[in-house]
Amino acid sequence: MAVAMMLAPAAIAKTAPEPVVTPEAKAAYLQDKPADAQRLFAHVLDDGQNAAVLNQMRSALAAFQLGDSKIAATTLDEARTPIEAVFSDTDDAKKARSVWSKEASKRFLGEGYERAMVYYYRGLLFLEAGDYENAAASFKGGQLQDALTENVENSQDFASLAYLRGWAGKCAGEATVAEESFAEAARLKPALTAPDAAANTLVIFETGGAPEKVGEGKYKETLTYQESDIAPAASFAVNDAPAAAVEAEDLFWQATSRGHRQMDTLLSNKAKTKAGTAATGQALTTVGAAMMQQSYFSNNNNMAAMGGVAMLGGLFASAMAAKMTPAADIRQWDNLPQKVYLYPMTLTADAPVKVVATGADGVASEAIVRVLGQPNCRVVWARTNSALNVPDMAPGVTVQQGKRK
Amino acid sequence: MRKRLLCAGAFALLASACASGVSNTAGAPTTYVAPGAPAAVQGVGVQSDDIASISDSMLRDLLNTPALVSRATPARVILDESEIKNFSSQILDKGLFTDRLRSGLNRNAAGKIFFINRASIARVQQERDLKRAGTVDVGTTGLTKAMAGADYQLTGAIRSQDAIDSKTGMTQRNTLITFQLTDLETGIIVWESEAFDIGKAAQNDVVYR
Repeated sequence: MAVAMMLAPAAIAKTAPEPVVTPEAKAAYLQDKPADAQRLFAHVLDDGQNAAVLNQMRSALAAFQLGDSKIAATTLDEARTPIEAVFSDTDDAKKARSVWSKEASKRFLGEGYERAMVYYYRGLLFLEAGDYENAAASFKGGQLQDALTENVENSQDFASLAYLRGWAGKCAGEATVAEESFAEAARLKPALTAPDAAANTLVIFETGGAPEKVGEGKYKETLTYQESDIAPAASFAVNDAPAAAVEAEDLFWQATSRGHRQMDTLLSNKAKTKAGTAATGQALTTVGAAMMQQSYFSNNNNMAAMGGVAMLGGLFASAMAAKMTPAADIRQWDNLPQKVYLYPMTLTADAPVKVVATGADGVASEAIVRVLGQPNCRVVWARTNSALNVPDMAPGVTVQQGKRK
Repeated sequence: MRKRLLCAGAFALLASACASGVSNTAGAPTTYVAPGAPAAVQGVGVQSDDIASISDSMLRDLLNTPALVSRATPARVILDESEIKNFSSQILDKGLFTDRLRSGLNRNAAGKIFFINRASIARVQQERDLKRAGTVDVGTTGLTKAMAGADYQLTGAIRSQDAIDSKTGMTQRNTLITFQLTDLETGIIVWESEAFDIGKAAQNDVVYR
């Protein structure tokens, strides 16, 4: 086992290198992407396969906001494929379990709330296309991504996804799907009642900033969250009329309510291993130094040799401890909103839509708006802070990952 | 003394490194729950090999259905993906079923089944109007009084039941797929496929739980 531990860093170094992305291949990839989002799409290639899903998530959302539904849908599908795959005993998963590597060595698939939001946006795009069955399937699939929680009562509790599935069922004329889904949404959030039969528009307000992942603990081994500095709006108006929108989702709540991850147990043990090894190293070094000092005064060569061995052992253990990396994965989908509000209403087919959001400080501002879908069953997507208002590289992605090309 | 020191150091290293506290960290690969040949699938949903298998089974079954193939005149069938309802939790391209099935039946039914293309009805009507207005000639097959009516319509439903053990991360999905052939004059179901029940279970690596 000790030998295996010593060999581990060398073995890890043998993992397959990232494929080389030529400038021509990158240019070809970016060629059909919306210009304002290309700086985000570039990182799908630049940051390597382990961060590809993360970069697809954030660049797809940017494309969605920019109105490029085709690219957004394709990119979300690319992100969805590995999310739906089963990863058992893959090389990068082995690496992430190893004490020698941080959790971010694994391929990023996101935490439950991030994976669920892939299905949320994909479902909105299916609604836009009038494919209500796949929209409903996508919203239902998103709920399943929120199933792996320690706190069972918080499992599959995305009320927004349940309501949106109901809306897709309503649009498809599938009364049973609509009734069941609206009932589920109301069970999760009692204020989310089923829309009037005459409602032909669902206004979705996205507001606030994404939950921010933080590594806490001596070795940053504990994944925690903090709320974004971008505060959610307090009220909304559609075409100058107040909209009594209902808060359907709080992603900060979703991020923090799932409870303990099984990975947290591994990270905690990695941290204990590192601490234990470091303490052992320090103890052996101290004892070895003391023995050598004592041997100097007592002229005892055997004690000097033993002290030397102990010191060497201590230095070796300290070096091993320094190599151990129990840090939690804090890569995050940073252009998500914090809250999602829903407001079903009736709008005439050609009515222009203007959404104004007012913050808790009373400051009002016009939201970014996209009108999706058919006049008889459409979605107005409104957002108070731009999905493009993020840095080129996702938070938590290391420079080393960014340099792999 | 030297041995004791070395042993103590090695033991401390080993003791702190060995306990993971999580069972089956490597996870388990995808496996079929129902009997059948294992396939190289990656998830618990319906995948292309399932669709191929179901379509082939339906194809064989339909080719042995008297209402379809033992007739003096070829049966006219509408095979439209919009009539196959997806109630499952999986995003699906239903055209994968209908296109494969129509292609297989067209190639194997030896002219005993005609498929009516209702998805292109507007285009067909446009061409008929152009011919009758004299804008284009009548083509080579002549004019008909009306577009072809259909005898049968294939309908279907895809449903799923998901179960997830939040403690172990084990996920199981059972997908039930059924198809019927309905007589569009009488409403009688003249053929029904077997109920294709696809059950798959898988467990992700612990780093993803």
